[in-house]
Amino acid sequence: MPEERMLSIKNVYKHFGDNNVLNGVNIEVNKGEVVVILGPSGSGKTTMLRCINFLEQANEGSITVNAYTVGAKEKSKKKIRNLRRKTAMVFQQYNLFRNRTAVENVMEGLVVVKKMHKEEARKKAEKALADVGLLEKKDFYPSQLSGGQQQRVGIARALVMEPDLLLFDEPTSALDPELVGEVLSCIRKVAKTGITMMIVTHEIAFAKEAATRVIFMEGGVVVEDGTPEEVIDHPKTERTQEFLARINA
Amino acid sequence: MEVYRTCLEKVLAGVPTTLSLTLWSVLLALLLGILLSFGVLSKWTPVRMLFSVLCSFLKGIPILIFLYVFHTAIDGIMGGIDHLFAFYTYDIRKPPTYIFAVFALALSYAPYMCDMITTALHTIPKGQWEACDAGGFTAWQKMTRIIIPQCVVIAIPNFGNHFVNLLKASSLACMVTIMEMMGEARNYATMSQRFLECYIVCAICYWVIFIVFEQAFRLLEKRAGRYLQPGVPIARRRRKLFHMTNTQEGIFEEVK
Ligand SMILES: Nc1ncnc2c1ncn2[C@@H]1O[C@H](COP(=O)(O)OP(=O)(O)OP(=O)(O)O)[C@@H](O)[C@H]1O
Ligand SMILES: [Mg+2]
Repeated sequence: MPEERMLSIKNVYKHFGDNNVLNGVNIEVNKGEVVVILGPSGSGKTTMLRCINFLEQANEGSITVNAYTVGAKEKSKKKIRNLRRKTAMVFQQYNLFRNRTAVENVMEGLVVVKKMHKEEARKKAEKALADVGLLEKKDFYPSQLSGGQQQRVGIARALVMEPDLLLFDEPTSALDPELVGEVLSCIRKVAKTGITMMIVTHEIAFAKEAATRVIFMEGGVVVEDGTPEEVIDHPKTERTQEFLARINA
Repeated sequence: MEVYRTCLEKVLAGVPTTLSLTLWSVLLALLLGILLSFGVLSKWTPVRMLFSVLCSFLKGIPILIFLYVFHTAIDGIMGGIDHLFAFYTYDIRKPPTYIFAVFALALSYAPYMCDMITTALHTIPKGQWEACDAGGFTAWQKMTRIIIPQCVVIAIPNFGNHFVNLLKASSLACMVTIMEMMGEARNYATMSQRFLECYIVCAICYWVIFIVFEQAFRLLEKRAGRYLQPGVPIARRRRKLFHMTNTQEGIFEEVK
């Protein structure tokens, strides 16, 4: 079976004022790959992820998700929206809708974007919540949930849309240490379903075991790209070695 | 004692006018405030500047001047549009003072409503907007389903303040012959020459109405804002309250 291309980031440049954050990023991701992005703080990981779904609009380059290409200079809101609907994002700060209960959070996209019937959406949402182990919290508002629970709802909200590409931006770094485990094991479960994922994280151990591929970014470019063994255990560049040494220390 | 009773009767007769005047003014002010906020939040700098100046202008002028200006201009304006609409002819003996008072009050409060709206919008965390954007919502879906519902909740205390302020400010309308509470009190005071008593009665009436609305808004704030406060889910909390036997703490035991 030929490999199916799910994401192409082509020659993406992004600057904020005179701060050049992304300096020509090129990444190709095939269907089913679980890509972990590593890199020092300020290397542009978050910006790169946000450029994929146009939360930041790149200055140069193009993004293709499942054969749908949008150029960096695209002005049409509709085209950008179409691209966004092929992706889903899990945020560092969860960003659950505060005026919606857990199950309503998960339903929202189904009802609003997919125009699904409310009852059908609710059933689907409850199933998704059950998958992340939170069915009994379905009528709780985000403010009534712990950080870990909120993030699992966030994952359910993203998953239920059945996106071609699932984006995670440091999904555990806002969590108390004792809550990190539940969220990581949840992501691990998701990774096994064969959905294409891109995860920015500092959890090296998690990257090693859950990722099929690791990308190391630095200074707004991809420095190293390979299997977890290649990049984490036998890094080729000095910068990657330094970074890993610092993190493992 | 007789004076107090008669005066109370007079003032109570003015209550419906005060309430309707307040209500219509608040609604119109809110509507105008929404329009102003579009201008103030516009992405075109000239528009933004124009509306900021307009807001500042409306804020800077005493309500009484608005009332007087409109009152003086009634004949001119109404005479002007007299034959514009087939269904309406202006009767100079019955000038629509009431409508013009509503406009005057609304114009004075519109910039405050505008401030209230923009403040509420700025209080919504960036993450709420981004979660909608990332989910592929249209701007309309984002605003109507997520942002505005949250804004409404945030704005309730502010809105309550403006409401009771406008309630009190509506007493100025007696200066343009509208017989609301204050107008009735003043009228009777002149007639009976018992000024102090009449104004005391009127003041107490305003205070009572104020308390009613203040409490109503406080209740509304509490109910509408429940989801922003940690605690037991709302559906369950309500059920629990019915079965509540022991202390307050019982309600919150199941957090987490
Ligand atoms: N909205 C913005 N406006 C201006 N500068 C920004 C903005 N967002 C990011 N930057 C800058 O871009 C650079 C890269 O930021 P980015 O958040 O992408 O890094 P990161 O790799 O995710 O780092 P971290 O590991 O700390 O999250 C930083 O120097 C940051 O100051
Ligand atoms: Mg980041």
